[in-house]
This record gives sequence, C-alpha cells and structure tokens, in this order.
Amino acid sequence: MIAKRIPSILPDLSFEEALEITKIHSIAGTLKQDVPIIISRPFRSPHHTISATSLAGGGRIPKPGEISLAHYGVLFLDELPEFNQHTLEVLRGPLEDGLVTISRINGTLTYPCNFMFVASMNPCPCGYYGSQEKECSCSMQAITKYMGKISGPLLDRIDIQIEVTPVKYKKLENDKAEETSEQIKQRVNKARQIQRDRYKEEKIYSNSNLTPNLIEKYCKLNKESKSILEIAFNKLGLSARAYGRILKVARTIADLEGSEQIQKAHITEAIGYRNLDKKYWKN
Amino acid sequence: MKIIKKADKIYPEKLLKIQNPPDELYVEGNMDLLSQNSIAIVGSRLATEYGKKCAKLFSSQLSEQGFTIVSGLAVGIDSIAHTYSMEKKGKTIAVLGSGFNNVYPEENYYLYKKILENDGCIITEYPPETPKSKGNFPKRNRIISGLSLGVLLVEARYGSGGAITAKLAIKQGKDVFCIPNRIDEKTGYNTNLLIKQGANLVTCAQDIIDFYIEEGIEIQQNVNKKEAEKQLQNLKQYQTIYNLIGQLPISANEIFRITNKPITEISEALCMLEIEGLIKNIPGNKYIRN
Amino acid sequence: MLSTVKTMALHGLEGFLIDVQVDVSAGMPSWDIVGLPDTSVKEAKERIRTAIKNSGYELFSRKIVINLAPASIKKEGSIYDLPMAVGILKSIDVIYTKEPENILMIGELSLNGDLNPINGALPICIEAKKMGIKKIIMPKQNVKEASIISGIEILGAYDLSEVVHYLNNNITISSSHITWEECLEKGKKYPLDFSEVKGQENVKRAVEVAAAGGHNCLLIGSPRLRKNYDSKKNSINLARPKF
Repeated sequence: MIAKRIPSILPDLSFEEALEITKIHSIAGTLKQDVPIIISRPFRSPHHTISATSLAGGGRIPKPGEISLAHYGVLFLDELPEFNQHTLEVLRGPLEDGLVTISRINGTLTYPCNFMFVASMNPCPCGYYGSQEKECSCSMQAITKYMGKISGPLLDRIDIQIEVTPVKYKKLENDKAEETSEQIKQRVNKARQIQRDRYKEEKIYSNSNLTPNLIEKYCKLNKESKSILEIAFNKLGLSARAYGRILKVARTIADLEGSEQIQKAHITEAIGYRNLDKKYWKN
Repeated sequence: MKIIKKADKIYPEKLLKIQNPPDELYVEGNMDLLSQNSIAIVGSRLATEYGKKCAKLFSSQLSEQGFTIVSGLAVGIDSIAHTYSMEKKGKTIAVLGSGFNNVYPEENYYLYKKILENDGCIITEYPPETPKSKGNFPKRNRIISGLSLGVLLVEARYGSGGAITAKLAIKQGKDVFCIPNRIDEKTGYNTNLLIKQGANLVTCAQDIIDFYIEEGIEIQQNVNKKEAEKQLQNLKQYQTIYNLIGQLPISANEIFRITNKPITEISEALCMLEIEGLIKNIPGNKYIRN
Repeated sequence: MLSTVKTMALHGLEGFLIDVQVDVSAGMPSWDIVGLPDTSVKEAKERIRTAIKNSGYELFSRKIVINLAPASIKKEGSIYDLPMAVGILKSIDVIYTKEPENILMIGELSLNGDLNPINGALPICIEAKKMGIKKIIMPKQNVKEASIISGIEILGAYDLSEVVHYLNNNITISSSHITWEECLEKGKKYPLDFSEVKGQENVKRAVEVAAAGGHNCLLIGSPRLRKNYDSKKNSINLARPKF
C-alpha cells in the first residue's frame, strides 16, 4: 500500500527533531528496548474505533495521544469515514496549530503534534463508485451520506486529494524497474532544504505551514499562471477555500523542480490534485 | 431584438413547414440556433420530484450531445429544461407566449437573462408590448414543436399544455418521446396515454440519440468537434495526449505507460485540456473526451 | 533523622524539581506520604517496604513521614519509589554519605529490590540538565534512551542494593553516552520501499509532492484494489504456518 510507504520518502530527521519525538514516545512508554532513540519518522495508523481521547491525548494521567505520537511523522487514518465524526473533529485545531492542549482537573498540558495527515477512504460504501470493472451498487444518497461524514472544515485542511485507480494485473507483471524510495527521497530532501532556507525568518518549516499572509508573500504568480487559475476556478467549479491550497501545493511543486517562480506547469498540476472537489463534494 | 419576416431568407425553414407559420418572429440572442437540431422538452408546470429529476437528466444529457433544447420558459419542467441545458454549456431556445416587455411568468425573468447570457435564443411571434393572454400560450406551442426534431414529454396531465404540444407535434409529423410514469399519478396520465397510442417510450437520453442516429440525422457534435480542433491549435503541445483520450475512459497512468512522458507533463496537459473543456474527468480518476 | 533526595515530576513535557523529604523517628509505627501524592504514589509504601527487606536491609517498625515538596504539584506514577527508598535508607543510616542530595533519582521498585523501567526518562534528563543537575540515577533499561543527552552523567542501576553501594562509595557505576551518529548507524532502514509499488505513477507523484511540502493528503479508492499487490507478496510467507 502506498500510504504505508510514505515515511520512506520523508526527509531525514535532524537531531533536535529526533529528540523531540523520542521525548514524547518516552512519556507514552512506547519506546522499544532495541531502539533507544527514534531515528525514523513515526508512522501511526490507529484503528477507526479509536476514541477522541486516545487520538488527541488525555486520560486521568494525561498521556500523549496518537497525534502527538505522530509528531514530525505521519498520522494515517485508514477508512476515514468509518471514524467517529466527533473523533475526527478533534483533529481540526491540532492540524492548524501543530500542538494540542489538554485540560484536566489536574492542570493543563501541551504536547506538540506537527504531523503530516494522510487518510484513505473508499469512494462509496461498496467501493466501486467510478470503477470500470464492476458496477457500484450504492444509491446516490448512500454515497452522499458516506462522503458527508467528513466535514468541510476537516476537508479544508487537506491539500492534496488523489484518486487511486486499480492497476490491471497485466501491468503488475511489467518488469520495468520502479523508482526506489531513496531516489524519491533525495528530491524531497532537496525541496525541503529550499523551503527551510526560504522560511528561516518566518518560523515555519514547510509550505504546508504557510498562512494566508505568507502565501501572498511567497506564492506570487506570473500573469499566465494567474489567468489559468482564474479560468480553472470558473470552469471547474472549485471552491474558494481551494485557492490557498492550490497555491501552497504549486509552491511545493516549483520547489521540487528548483524553480523560484511558480510556472504554469506547477499550477496546473496543483489544480489536478483538487479534482475530487469537483466530483464528489460538489456544491 | 430582431424582427424576421416570413419572406426573409433567415426565416427558419422548419417553421415554414408547419401549418400556420407565424408571420413575424421577434428574436433576441443567438439566431443561428433556430436552424440547428433541437429537441423540445415540455411538461407540467406542477411537476413532481420524479418529473423534475427526469427533466434534469434528459436536458443536461441531450444538450451535452449537441442538441439544442427548446422549451416555453414556464415554471416547472420548462425552467428545469432551460437551466440544465445551459449547465454543460449547451444551447437553449425559449419560446414566449407574450411580448418581450411582458415576460411571463415574472419570476422567470432571471432565467430569461441567463439564457441570453449563455448565448441562447428567445423567440416570440408577438410584438414586445403584447400582454400575456390565455389563448396565446397554446398557440406558441406550435412554434416549440415546429422548431424541434421531436418533442420529449416529461409529465403531462390530461389536456395540459404539454399534451397540446405533443398533439401539435404529431400533426406536424414530428417524433414524440414520452417518459413513462406511474399509472396512479394524475401528472403522468397523458404521457402514459400517448405511449399506449404509440409514442416512443424513452428511459434515457441515449434512447433519443440512438433514434436519430438510426434516422440518419447527423448530430451537431461535429460542430463541437470542429470547435475543439480550433481550440487545439492553441494547445498543440498537448495534441499527442489529447489523441489518446477517446470515448473510453483512460487514466493518467495508462497515458504514462503509452507515451513514456514524465507524469508531471501529463498532469499539466490533462489539466489544461480539462480547463479548455475538451476532456472531462470522471469518477475513478479517468478521462474521456467531452 | 531527616534526609532529602531529589527527584522530578513531569507535567506533559515540562519538568519540576521535587524534594523527597523523609523523616524516620521513634514512635507509633506508621507510614505517611504527604505532598499531593495520588493513589499510585501511595501504593509505593508496600513496594518500598518489601524491596528494602528483600535487598537485605532491616526496616524496624518506626514512624515514617515522607513529604514530596513542593506540595502544590500533583505527583503521579511510580518513579518516586527509588528516591523514597533511598531517603528512608539514608534516614536510618544505611546510606551514610552526604551525596544523594546532589543526585537526581528516578525509578520504580519491584518487590525483590530490582529497578523497573519507567516512562519519560528522556524528558526528565533534558529538564534536569536545564536545571543544572549533574548526575542522575535511573533504571538500567532506561539508560539507552537517556544517554543521548550530553553534559549530564547518566547512571544506570539494576537494583536497590547497587544504588546503596554506589552511594556509599563501595562501587562505581560508569556513565554511558552515545552520539547521534552512533544512533543513525544502529538504526534500521524503513522496511517498505516504493520500488515495490508497480504502476500508480500519478499517485506516487502526488505523494512525493505531499512529502516535499508536508502537505496533508487524502487517497480515495478501493482498498481491495490498493492492497492487492502487497497481499500477493505476503501470501508466500503466510502459506506455511509455524508453531
């Protein structure tokens, strides 16, 4: 599965980051004896029966939750609509702030939780909506209801939406060598370095942390890209909240290519990552 | 606004063939539409949810396939037919039963505006100052059916306006299509009646398209294609990718396999083509020609 | 006689220095822990009593009062076992050096006197270093994670009597330290690799972009189809069950 492989292409940890991750895992008691210090980015994938408390952290003796254990790593929620809606809403604040504050009678605690949120879901309850191989047996209402389980504000915080289509068996047999994680990681590392240098003054580390003010400052478009974005908005019916997301992603794509300006190709690719806006969550 | 006299060359040929063609036509908007292949979608003003749903479906699909949708700007089925024909950049013609200065019903004035904005056409046989009058509406129905290849009746009570249009269409030798309805539903009485009497029963837009393909009528999609090719001039660099996309859905990965171009270039091309309206992204992350 | 041992309370990632003050005196035999301990700290009584006995020291029936200062901070968990035990042993003159006052101690005792690993050893070390502590005694099992911190002596002990002997200067415990580079060498490579995913170029690209910018992402599609390839590979391993 693709999501599980994401940590293999994430940029290397710095000593400070590793220390901060290990600190949290030390408190939670999830350190393993053979790996004293966590040197790879954590990948947490809690089951969908998880409660809000264990996701955000808490309990009588407040412990860090899954989101804090995923600090500097990946929090992966498989089958997103199956999660309790209340549980998912807990993510909203932490996704924005990068930290979670837990208040209990005994006091208030703050744990960091600067994680990359990755989720996966079926397009509909039966899983075949949009598939060419088999007909979807769900009613339109069922699909809408299924999709409706993910609230707008949460969706708003997801920059990239991508549909995974089945690969025909014949193609799996194809022996063409695929790129290794190491090769991809090198490109990712380079792009991250560019971002780190650029945002030295701003106290943020990556494009995903850009605030609206900073987007205006760092994601300038040339005339051509601007007009394409405008046309795309009118013609493809993208939501207004997608605007900032597209710019951020386009900035990252430009960084991957080492380009200082956001070019037409970058903006169009970024628009491509919002296409679910058009199809599933229309209106 | 333009006034077309019967003797004028631009007077739509189709109307000359009907029994009592109007002497004068008052036209606003895109006049070319009058000579194109069109389907009338008519039905009850008191439409049920079922009727509305059908009207939506047929109107958007037929206009997508290149048919111009003709209707009467009334509330109910008519408004829906107009609205959804424009949704996918299709064209629509509204035939009024009053003058341009007395658009009836008033609440559809916004739709009147919208049709003109979307390069549609409004037509009437009455001078601008003519007020609405009961007798005028059934009369204009002959223009609705006269302008069209066939009439699709969505929902009609016994003796309603829609039923009259269908009757006129039969007289004019046009094809009549009916969507079946529940037998205990008053709104569906006339559609079911017409089916019993031999009208074409249709359950999807493709039925109508197939009907005309068999008749040997060339559907306007060709015009769209020409336009598409014109647009492609600007998008020449994406030509190879556009050629790969046909009526059968294809995914970005398959295009990658075939062309061996970098995936970034492919996604750029797909996005540009989609923005230009040449291709469409369908669920399952596949693309087809629009 | 009164004695004091230093330890630390952890609130989230924030540490507070705690003085464990122990007074053992003649009087009606009793045992009180004050200073806002919660139930898990009060339970320590039985563990400490038995651990001291099983380590070979005698604890006569006396009046024992333990205060965890400052009393305004809530204390939870089992990390106070070791400092309390050391405080008692110091009060009854089993430990006779002055040193424990300058050493921070954390650790949970088991009934036979062994030290059990605790949670939060690393943040405690980091906080202790900030507060100017030079030495810290903790269970041997926790040394690994803590020894990445430089500038503070990390001493790992197996059991209570080792701590007592160390404090009485009978033995020495060498402090350990590992560097970041050593950790990196020891670390394992991530077991999964993208080269095992055939096709799906556009998804891989999207994931690459997400990783490069730290963007959140949502994958939509049937998991049956997405997991297909993996399960095929794993099924070879699953074919023959082992006992």
